[in-house]
Amino acid sequence: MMKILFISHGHPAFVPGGGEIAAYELFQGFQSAGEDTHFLARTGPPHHRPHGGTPFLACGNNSREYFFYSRDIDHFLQSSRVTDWGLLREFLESVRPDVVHFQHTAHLGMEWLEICRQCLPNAAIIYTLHEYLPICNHAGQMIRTYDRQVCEGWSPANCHLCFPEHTPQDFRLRELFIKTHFRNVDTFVSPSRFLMNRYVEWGIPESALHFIENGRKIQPEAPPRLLPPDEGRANFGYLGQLNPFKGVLVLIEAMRLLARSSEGRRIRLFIHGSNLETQPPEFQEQYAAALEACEGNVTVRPAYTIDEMPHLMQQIDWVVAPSIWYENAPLVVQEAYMHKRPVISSDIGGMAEKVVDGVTGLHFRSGSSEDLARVLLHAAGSPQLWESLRAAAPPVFSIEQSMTAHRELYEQILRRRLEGVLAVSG
Amino acid sequence: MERLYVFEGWTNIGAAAQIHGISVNRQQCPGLPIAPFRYERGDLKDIENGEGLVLIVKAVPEWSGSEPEVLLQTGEGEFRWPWSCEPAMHENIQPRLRAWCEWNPDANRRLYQHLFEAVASAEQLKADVLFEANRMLWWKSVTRIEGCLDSCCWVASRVLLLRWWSPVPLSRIRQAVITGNNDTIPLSLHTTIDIRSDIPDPSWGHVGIASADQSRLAALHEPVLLFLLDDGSVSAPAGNAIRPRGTLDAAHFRHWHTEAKRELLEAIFRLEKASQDTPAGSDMASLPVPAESAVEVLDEACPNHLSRFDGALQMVLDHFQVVRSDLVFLAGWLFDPKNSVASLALRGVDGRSIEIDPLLIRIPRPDVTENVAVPHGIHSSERYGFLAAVPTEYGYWDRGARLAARLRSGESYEIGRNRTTWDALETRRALLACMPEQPYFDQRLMKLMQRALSDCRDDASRRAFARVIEYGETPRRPATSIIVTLHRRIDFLRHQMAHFVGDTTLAGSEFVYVLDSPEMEREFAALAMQVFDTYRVPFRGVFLRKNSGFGPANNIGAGLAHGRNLLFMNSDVFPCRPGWLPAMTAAQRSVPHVGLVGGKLLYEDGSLQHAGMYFSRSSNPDGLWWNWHYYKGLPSVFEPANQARAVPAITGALVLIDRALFEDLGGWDESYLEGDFEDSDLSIRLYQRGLCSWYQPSVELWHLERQSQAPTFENAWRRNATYYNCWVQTERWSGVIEEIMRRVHGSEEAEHQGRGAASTHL
Repeated sequence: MMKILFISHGHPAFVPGGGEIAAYELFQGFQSAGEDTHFLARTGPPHHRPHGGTPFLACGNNSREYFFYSRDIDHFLQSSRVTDWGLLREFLESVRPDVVHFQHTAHLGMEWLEICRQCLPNAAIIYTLHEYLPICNHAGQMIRTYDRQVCEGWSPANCHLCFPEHTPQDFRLRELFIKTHFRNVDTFVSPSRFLMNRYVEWGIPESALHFIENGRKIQPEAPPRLLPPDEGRANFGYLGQLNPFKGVLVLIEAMRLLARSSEGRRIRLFIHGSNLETQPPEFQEQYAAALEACEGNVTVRPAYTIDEMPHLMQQIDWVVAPSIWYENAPLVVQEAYMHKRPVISSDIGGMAEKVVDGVTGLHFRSGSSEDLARVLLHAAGSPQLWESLRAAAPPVFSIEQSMTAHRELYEQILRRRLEGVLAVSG
Repeated sequence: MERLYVFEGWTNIGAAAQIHGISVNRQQCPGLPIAPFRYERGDLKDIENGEGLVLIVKAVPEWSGSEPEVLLQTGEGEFRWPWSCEPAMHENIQPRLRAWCEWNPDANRRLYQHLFEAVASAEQLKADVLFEANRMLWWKSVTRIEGCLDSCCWVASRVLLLRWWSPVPLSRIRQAVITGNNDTIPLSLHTTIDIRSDIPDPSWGHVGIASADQSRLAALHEPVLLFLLDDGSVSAPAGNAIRPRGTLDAAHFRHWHTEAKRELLEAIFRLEKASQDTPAGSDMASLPVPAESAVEVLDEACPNHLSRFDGALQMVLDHFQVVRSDLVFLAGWLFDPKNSVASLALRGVDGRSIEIDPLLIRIPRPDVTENVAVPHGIHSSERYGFLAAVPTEYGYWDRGARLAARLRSGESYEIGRNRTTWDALETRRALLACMPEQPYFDQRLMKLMQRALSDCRDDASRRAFARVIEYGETPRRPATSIIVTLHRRIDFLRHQMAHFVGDTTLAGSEFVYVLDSPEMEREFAALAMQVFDTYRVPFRGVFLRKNSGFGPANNIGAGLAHGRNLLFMNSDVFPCRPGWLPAMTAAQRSVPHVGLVGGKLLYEDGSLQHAGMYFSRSSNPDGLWWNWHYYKGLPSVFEPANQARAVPAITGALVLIDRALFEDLGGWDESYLEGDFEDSDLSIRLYQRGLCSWYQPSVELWHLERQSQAPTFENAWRRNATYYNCWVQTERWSGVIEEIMRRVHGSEEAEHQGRGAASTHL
């Protein structure tokens, strides 16, 4: 029996992001498995207003779920502005978890790691890495601000080029500040080997990184689309958030190019996008203008819930993941595999890792609409290829598998810590 | 407290219509005494029956907070009065009275009289406590209320400046008094006519100064200014401006003739001096702020630039500074190709004069050459600039000075400067900014700068210390005290603590943070609490009264530290990894004859910032010994930078020293300015004792120095400070430095020739 505290940068009830959902599903899984499991989620405006004199808020009647109100952190340093940690210390010391699993410290601050370690000197502290925020000040995207190309690597000079308002010295300070807090973490969990390597390059020892694939709720497979007699496998789907880094503009531009050829006009694209309204206005305008200019067969559909996935997969033959940033372990790839849809993805980062070119999907040159158009055309005209890629779709890692992997990791670290304590006292 | 309300505006109900009463907020106020005052208004000429109307009524408590609407009840019915329904209270009536006066100056006079009567009647009804008994007495004796007192303020600690207008000629005033509830202060006014266009007769304006006692005047309640006239009557300017907290209304004096301003200023100083009973010089800096503002406002009294004969004679006094009560410093330039100036003298505002020709040091002024000489067709290497340090007797030099040029033709011209500062730091920076740009060098000039600069040093470390706050329980008998001075970037505290908390080898050390930015005291106090609450590393926060610079701030920190060892660390130094302190103390223990231990410091990109320092003599005529950093900018793995060895000097950014030794040496030398060369000076002093400065490359820390900015006019003082410090170091240690460097070269040669290991002891 282990006591586990999950700390998340948000609660999926309010912020249904991938990281938040993953954390919460893991929490629910351990809870239903009978472990004494707690979930502490950061909250802030507009979802909550703080009570006077405490950052804590109850989460309905859930005796094991808590909100912690936090806003206005120093986003450059990822440093908290909390001036009195007394109540958090009190909380940690009364719950006394054996394992503290951070899903993120975004909106909370690096200091949380310090406070946890001070209050819980023997606990296992686990930290799941979702993107590159500790490395990259550009929302952790590792995309250069000035030309939107992927970043070649962290350095104070490179970062200063992206953010001229911060000196190279500031970036060294930022790195040192984050790393000195990371020393409190026993193990980092990464669902992508590509992401692990970026952190190794940045200076996290390889031994402190642990690979666990994202665990998913397995859905029954959606059957392949019923083809009318003279139609090929030419329905493509874009599923997920609409933001400047997800490459949807590249995809729409590819469709515009394809619309010029008679063969290309057979290709149809379904966009199931979400969160457009929260994006910068320039992006919203660009998106609208791109759709306007595109004469191809593009159908825009409203956002979907995860339960609707089998239904919308039924009209799609292929899933496109055209992100221009490295990604981590994109959920949409798992969703495609779950329903045996081959994936056409950018040839970089987590996408290139999860999609094996010519085996489970096809790669195109990241950011290149021309190359994407070529691949789409190629894919639409190769029914045999579709069949073989589909047959090769790997099984998807389940929540149960993920729980088992996490449990093993927790136990391993606790054992190691205990041995360390015994070694010191012995 | 009950109040008198004054409603003012205009009506066209006609003089025949009688005003029976008013209602406020639609409630009749039957018992209200009304004293309607009607007068002709120029702006209402085109309106039938248009006339100005003023009503004076006692306030009713129900009005408070609401805006009363006034209805006039006449025999013909009720009229809503739409204009100016906002009540005027006695606090704001003065500006309104002045506004009315613009419409009808004659009516204005009558209005004041009327007001006075209304006030008197209010007193009978016990309606108003505005005017206290004593004041009432005077008011009752006032025959006429004439004119207006516009402003009244302190311009020096004992000098009051009054500005008023009144039709009463000065010759008729027998005595001016300020009176209030319990005291009457006679004033001996020194008066000047103040020609103004905003009053009925331009010659009715006056400005007067009088010496008075601040505390006595402050004790008066509702003071008023009265003039006792030669016929026994009493005249009072209207207005209630005897509230001498205000500052001089600068805008007004802008119209003054500069000579008049100068005369007034000098009169103020004479009066101030005459009324000073304390010994001269004891509290020159403690004058109240208004005196400064008087100086500022009247600064134009004497321009600092002179140009005669179509620019063929030009003179500017750029800077004038009292360095000490008996030494003043001045800087400027003189363009005089025809050699028309016979002599220059410095004249104080109190009139005393000092010949300064023999004291002037001429310096090049490329800006004058370029912008003045060349346009006049003169291409010469003439040094137009001058500096001088002038010994003075005590005088009113802090109020500015005049530079008087007497021409061979007999004419005489003056330029001047009124501003000077008493802040040592500001003085120093101002003086440094006056130095000519290098490589110009003049030993006599440097001596002059030294004299001026060392005199304006203010024993910073003894006077700056303010208080210590302990965050957590700091160790009482620590092995090492780590002393960090914070200047502006107080956020470095957070960063350093985030690193120190993870280094177990620092446990038991004492941390002393000296805040050398006193203006950030509150911010720092809040940050310190937060940082301590997060990391729980105890430390002592030392607050300084004033910005003091590297040497003094670190000396204060050292004085408050308890460790057997002192480790001085810059706030922008951060460890690359834990364990650096034991590595330093190990070197201190194991190396024979060690005085200082320093480590390897890296820039943010990993290149070398510090791997020990040495001295190198400049090839300029000044022959200064400059400090150089070994292998600066090369990669940190560069082999020669990775040998532990004795070096000529160690940077002050990270240095370890035995506390007793440090104290014995007298700490950081405070004669260097703005944080520079103290470290090499310390190394040299240790060398003299036969102790070495040890570079330990296994000690690796970041030194996140900001790139130095390109020199601008604003930071010229900083560049000059470096130069000055280097000159001081050279003056002081030239011989010793030569010896040190001879040994270094000798041992390097020995090494090259393979004649055994080099001596570690320089």
